[in-house]
Amino acid sequence: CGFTPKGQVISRADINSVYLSTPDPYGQLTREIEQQLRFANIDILSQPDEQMYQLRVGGEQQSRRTISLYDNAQSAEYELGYSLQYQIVRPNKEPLSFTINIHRDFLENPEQALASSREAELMLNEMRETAAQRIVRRLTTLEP
Amino acid sequence: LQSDSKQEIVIRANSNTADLDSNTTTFLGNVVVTQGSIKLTANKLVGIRHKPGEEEMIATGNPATFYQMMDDGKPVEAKAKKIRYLKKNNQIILSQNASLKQLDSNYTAETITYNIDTRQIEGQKGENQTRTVFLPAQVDSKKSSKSSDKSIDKSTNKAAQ
Amino acid sequence: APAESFEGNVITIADLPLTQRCYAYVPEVVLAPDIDPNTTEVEVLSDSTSSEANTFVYKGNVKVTQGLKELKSDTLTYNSDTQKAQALGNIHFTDGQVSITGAQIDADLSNDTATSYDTRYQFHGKGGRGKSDELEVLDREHYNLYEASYTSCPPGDKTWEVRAKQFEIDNEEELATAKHATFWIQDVPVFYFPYFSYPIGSNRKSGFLIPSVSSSSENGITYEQPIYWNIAPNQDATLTVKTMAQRGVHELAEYRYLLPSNSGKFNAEYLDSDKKTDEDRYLLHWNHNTNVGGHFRFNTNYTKVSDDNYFNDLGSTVGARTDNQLLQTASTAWLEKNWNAEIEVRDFQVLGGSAPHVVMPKLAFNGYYPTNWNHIEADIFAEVTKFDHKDDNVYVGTRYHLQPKLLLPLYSQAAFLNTELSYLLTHYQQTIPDTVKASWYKELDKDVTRSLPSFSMHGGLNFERETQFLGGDYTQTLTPQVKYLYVPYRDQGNIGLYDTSPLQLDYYGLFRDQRYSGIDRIADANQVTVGVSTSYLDDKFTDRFRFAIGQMFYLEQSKTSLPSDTIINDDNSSSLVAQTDFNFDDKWFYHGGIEVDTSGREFSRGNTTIERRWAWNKLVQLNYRYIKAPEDNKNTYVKGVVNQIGTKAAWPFNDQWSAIGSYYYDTDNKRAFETLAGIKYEDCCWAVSLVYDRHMKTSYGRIGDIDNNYDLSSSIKFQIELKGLAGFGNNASSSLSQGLFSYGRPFSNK
Repeated sequence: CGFTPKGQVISRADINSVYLSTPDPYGQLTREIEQQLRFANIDILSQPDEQMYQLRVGGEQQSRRTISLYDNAQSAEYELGYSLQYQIVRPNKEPLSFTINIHRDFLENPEQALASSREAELMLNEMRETAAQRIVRRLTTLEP
Repeated sequence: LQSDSKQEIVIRANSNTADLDSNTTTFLGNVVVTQGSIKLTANKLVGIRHKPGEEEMIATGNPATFYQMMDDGKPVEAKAKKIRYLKKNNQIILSQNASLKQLDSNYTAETITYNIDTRQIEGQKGENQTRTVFLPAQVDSKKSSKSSDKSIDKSTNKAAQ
Repeated sequence: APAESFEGNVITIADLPLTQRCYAYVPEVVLAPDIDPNTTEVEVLSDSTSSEANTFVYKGNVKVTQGLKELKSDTLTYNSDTQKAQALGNIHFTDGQVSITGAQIDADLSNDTATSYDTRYQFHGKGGRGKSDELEVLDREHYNLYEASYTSCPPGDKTWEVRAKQFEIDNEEELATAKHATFWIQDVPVFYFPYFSYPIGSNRKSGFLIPSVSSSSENGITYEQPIYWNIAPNQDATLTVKTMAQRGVHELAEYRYLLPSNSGKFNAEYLDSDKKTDEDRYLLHWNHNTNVGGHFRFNTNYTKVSDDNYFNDLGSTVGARTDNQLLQTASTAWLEKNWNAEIEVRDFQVLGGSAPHVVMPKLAFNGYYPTNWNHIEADIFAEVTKFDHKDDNVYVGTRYHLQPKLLLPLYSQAAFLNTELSYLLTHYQQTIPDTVKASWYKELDKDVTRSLPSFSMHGGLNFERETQFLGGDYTQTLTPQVKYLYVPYRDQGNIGLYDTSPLQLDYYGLFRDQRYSGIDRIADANQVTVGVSTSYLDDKFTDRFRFAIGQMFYLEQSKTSLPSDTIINDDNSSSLVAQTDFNFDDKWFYHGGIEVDTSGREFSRGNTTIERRWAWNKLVQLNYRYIKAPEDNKNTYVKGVVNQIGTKAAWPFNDQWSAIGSYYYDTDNKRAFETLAGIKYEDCCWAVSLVYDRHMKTSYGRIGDIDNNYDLSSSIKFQIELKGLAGFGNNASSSLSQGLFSYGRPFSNK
């Protein structure tokens, strides 16, 4: 049915090092992105360099809204939103801007407030991991 | 300069003819009139001596020019098709696309009357309005520190030699 | 709950045909690089001039231009020494930001200031205009007006106007402040304000100052008067006074601050002796973030209300009517490149439900060590948590947990194989009360130690192909994944439940190592999870279609369960999970998700949302959500824990009349959670909206006991909006977010 392993159809950008700038250098999102960059064996420059790629990651925004109710009109399911803007700057070319929007929902149990808050934190970290994977996948599939 | 009016007037030209009846002398061709720092150039100059001290000169050219160095080191240059100089009130009247340039502003109008002693300028519009342009230098000089003033003095001395 | 607004498309004035008709007369803003008045030529045209030394007098159709600034007048006198100019008669002045006509202007060209007397002014690019006895231009961004008026209505439209002794207008901050102001409607003075400030741009806080009137079955006639105070560029405060006929005066104060390394918001709300319940009712909320150099971090998120029905009865900007768990947590952390440490305390105010265990405190340490020895990485997670409980006959305890982990992540473009081996060592010191709240407490032990390994291998392949779909060229990606997880069984019946409950499954959740949140139950597992996900990317690499499906297959039955599980699950596979999204031509948006119990052949969970969108303010969304009732207490639920149909719509009839609607219905119990309908009439400089809202009051009785917790509250809210005084740009999602459910568009991915 025409499927080929990845890398053939979308030629991989010849990128082997990048300068990463994020608002939260020691936070979890930055660590996830650095790990994904390591997996894609792209090394991280300590200083920005005109001739090299730059990855500028903006602040993350979280949102939470009620999407369904129990029969007594208490909140049942919440939708957690995670969004993030980032820019990829190719050497002497216009920066490309991208937005990531991830939504996942979960059922909150009013009897288990502490467990529900831990579940929300777990999902937030998972959304950060997904965002990091998408950022690096986009970085490595850009036409040079 | 203040001292200009006390200097003697020297007129050079290719040729001149005098008409004693009307007390007029006419100079033709590369006419140059100097009096102290004042310098007037024109193709034709008609000098009329009314009563003593009320001499009048009418210079015409394409354009006729007028130059004078002021005491504050700022030169005044003027141009017009016709420049009339009235000794009595030490005034020049420029007409037909007249323009008068000072270090920090230049000024165009249909007719300009310029009083040399009081440096007063009057202008009237013709088809198009009078136009004054204040150059940034003029705006700068107000602000600039002592250092730049010296530079202006230096340049003018050079021009004067 | 903060609404997810449309992704970034701020409404500019120009899009609205009505605005074009209203503001055709408004000149365009001419933005120019900041010209330095000292280096720009000044040109003066006039019919006649006369000058002496350095004073110049121009007469007759005088026109002065300097860069963008242009001044016309009958006469102009200018002193080149003092650089002061005075223009008299038929004056027109503009600088690309504001246009002024008047009788006299005194200007100082050296520092760009000017004062205009007996003036009419019109801002560029927005409707703001008015008269002023004296208008001071301080610089291109700051103006002071004395004895002046301001309105955004087109000339001749007298709908509203503010007249004040003094206006300070700050275009940079997009804010105007009025002193000793009276508010006029059709030449009738209506309100007097000693001092108020209002936004004159679209991105500042808007929708304030304007009073709103509503009447509800709950609170009777309610009159809400917000006052906005811009303390500093990075701090502002809003005080709202809400007088309710049936309850009393409710004061709501909010203070926001955005300092370099500290930001946050503080809310205090107080109702003195509510007439209906004759108690004092209050709310306190503090949300704060400190971030110093990325290393030190201090956060709080604390909300407290006086009673369970606070949100339900009074409504508030902090919590939603349906919230039932108010987080009260604070944490401080130090972060480094490869490790971080955190101290956290966490409590809850639960409205109606039973209070959970309280974390007092938790100390956690995370270490990450990417050894560069053929890709192996080592992590360590350690935690000590002291749990407390308000109810004396519930167990409490201290948990010590250590979890080293070895990872071998192998990645390439086309495939990945991620192997993880971790060891979980946990020790509990529990104190069990003699009178117990639940029978299973009896099996708890004072000291318990549990240790077990966990091993997983998670691999996947990435395929791609070019393909067509409905006439469009797409790149399709296909990613099959397989994960083997092994965790040995440990009897954990003697460990209390502190922060553990079942995790909800979606496609991503299938590939987790754990079935429960928290650490108090580590489910044994000998299972294989299989899943495949695919997506269609258009030429700009944005996802247009996504589909994922997966399931876990148990090689061995899991023997771990929670005390509340009465029925042991003996299937040999988990439920099948599938989800899909599509965004067809930016017109049709769809999100759907199902969880199917393959052995019982029935849905355990399902949701579907479809939206048709014509324009930013013209859309219809339908959604349905279902969660099956757990086996063991089927009798309390008719069918599902959640069985809800919902719809939201925004519909403009023309560019002045528009309507919004929101309807959510509980199909099991045959009653509407919310019926909301709003109609809005918009004119050039004002808009009025009427919203009818009938919703079910949240009751805090036990979930499932239907009869006595069905109580409706209905209200009608009348809101005036004065464009130009309360900011511009109102997008449908904010008006659509009224009521219980804030608006969210499915598949809002870029």
